[in-house]
Amino acid sequence: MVKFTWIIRFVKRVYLTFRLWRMVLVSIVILSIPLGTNLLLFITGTNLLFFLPWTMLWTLVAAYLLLVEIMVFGIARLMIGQAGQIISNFLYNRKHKPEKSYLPNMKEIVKKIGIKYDKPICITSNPSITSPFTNLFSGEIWFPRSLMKKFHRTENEAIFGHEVAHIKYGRRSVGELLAVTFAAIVFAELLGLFATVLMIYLMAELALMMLIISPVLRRNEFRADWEGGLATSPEALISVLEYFEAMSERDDGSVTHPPYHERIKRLRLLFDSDSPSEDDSQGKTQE
Amino acid sequence: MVNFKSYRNVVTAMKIIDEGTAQIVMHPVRFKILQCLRESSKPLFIEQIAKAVDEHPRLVSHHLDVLQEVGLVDCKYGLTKAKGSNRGVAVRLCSPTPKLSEVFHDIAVAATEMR
Repeated sequence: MVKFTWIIRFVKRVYLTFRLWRMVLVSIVILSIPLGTNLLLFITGTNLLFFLPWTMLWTLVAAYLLLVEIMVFGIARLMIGQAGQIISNFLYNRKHKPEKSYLPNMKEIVKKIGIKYDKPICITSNPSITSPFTNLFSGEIWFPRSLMKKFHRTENEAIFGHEVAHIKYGRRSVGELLAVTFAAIVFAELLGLFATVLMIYLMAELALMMLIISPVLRRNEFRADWEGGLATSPEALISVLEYFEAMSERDDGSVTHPPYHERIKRLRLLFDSDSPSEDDSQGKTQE
Repeated sequence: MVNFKSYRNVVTAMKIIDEGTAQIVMHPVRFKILQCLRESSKPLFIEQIAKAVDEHPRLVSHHLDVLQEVGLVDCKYGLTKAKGSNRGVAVRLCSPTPKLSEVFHDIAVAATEMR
C-alpha cells in the first residue's frame, strides 16, 4: 500500500530535481543547434542529408540521440558534481596559491579508514568554495579557510575523515555511477517510446536521470559520514552538521546531499553502537 | 533572551572578544549550553545539561571539551548522589568562567547597539 509520506517524499525529490533549472537551460542551449537540424529533418519529412533509405536514417537518428543522451548526462553529472568547484579553484589559484597543511591526527585517521593517503590538505580563500570537498580526479582535499577557522581542531579532523571516506569509496562510487548511468539511459529509451515531442522528451529524460542518480549520490554522503564518524569522532561531525543546519535557511538537501537533520539522525546511531561492522553501517545507511 | 539567529549576527559584529572565541561559540548547541550554564545557580553535570538542552550527553561532552579549551567553561570532577542510591557518583561538574560572563555581557551590549 502506498503511504502518504512516500508520495510527499517523491514530490519533494521531483521538486529538488527541477530546482536544477539552470542546468536544464544550459543543456538546452548546448543541444539546440544539433537538435534544430534534426527537428527540421523530422518536420520536413525529407531525407535531405544523406539520401539514405528511411530505415537507415532512423538507425542513425537513434544512434545520434543515444550520443546526445550520454553527452547530456555527462554535462549534468559534471555540473552537479565537481566541475564548478574545480574550475573555480583553477581560476582562483592562478593568482592565489593555496596553503598546504597537515592536520594533527591525519595519519591516524587515514589508517583507521584504511587507505593510503599522504597528501596535505589544501586551504583556500576562494570565496566561491564555501564547503570542504574532495577533488576525486587528483585526490586533493580542499578546505575553505573561513570555515576552517570556525571549527575546533577535532571538528576539522571529522570533516577530513568524511572527505577521506569519499576517496576510499571513490572507485566504487564511479562503478555505481556508471551502472546508474546505464540504467538511466535504458529508462530514457523507454520514455522515448511515449514522448512524441523531442524537447519534452529531453527535459523529462534529464529529470529522470537526476531522480535515478540522486539516491546514489545521497547514499555516498551517508556512507562517508558513517565512515568518517567512526574514524574520528561522531560528536565532532554532528557538531559540524548542526552548525551548517543552523546556518542554512532551508534544510531540504540537494540532489547530491541529504538534508543535515537526516545525516545527524544517522550519525547518532553511532552513539548507540560503539563498533558496528561495515555491513551494519551500509544496512543503516540504505533505506 | 538573545536567540541564535540574532546572536549569530551579534557575534559576527562583535569586536571585543578575540576571533577564535567568537568563532567557537558561534554554534547553536554551544550557545544553548552556555545559556544553560549561565542561568544555573550551581555547577551542572553532563546529564543535566543534556536534558536541559535536549541533546545527547556525548554531544554535550564534546561541546564542553571545546568550550573548556577556549576558557569559557570550567570543568572539574565531583561527587553527586545518584537517583535511588545513597552512593556518590563521580561526575564532571561544569560551571561558567568569568570570561563567559564577559562574552555574554558583550553580546548583550552588541545586541542593544544593533537594535
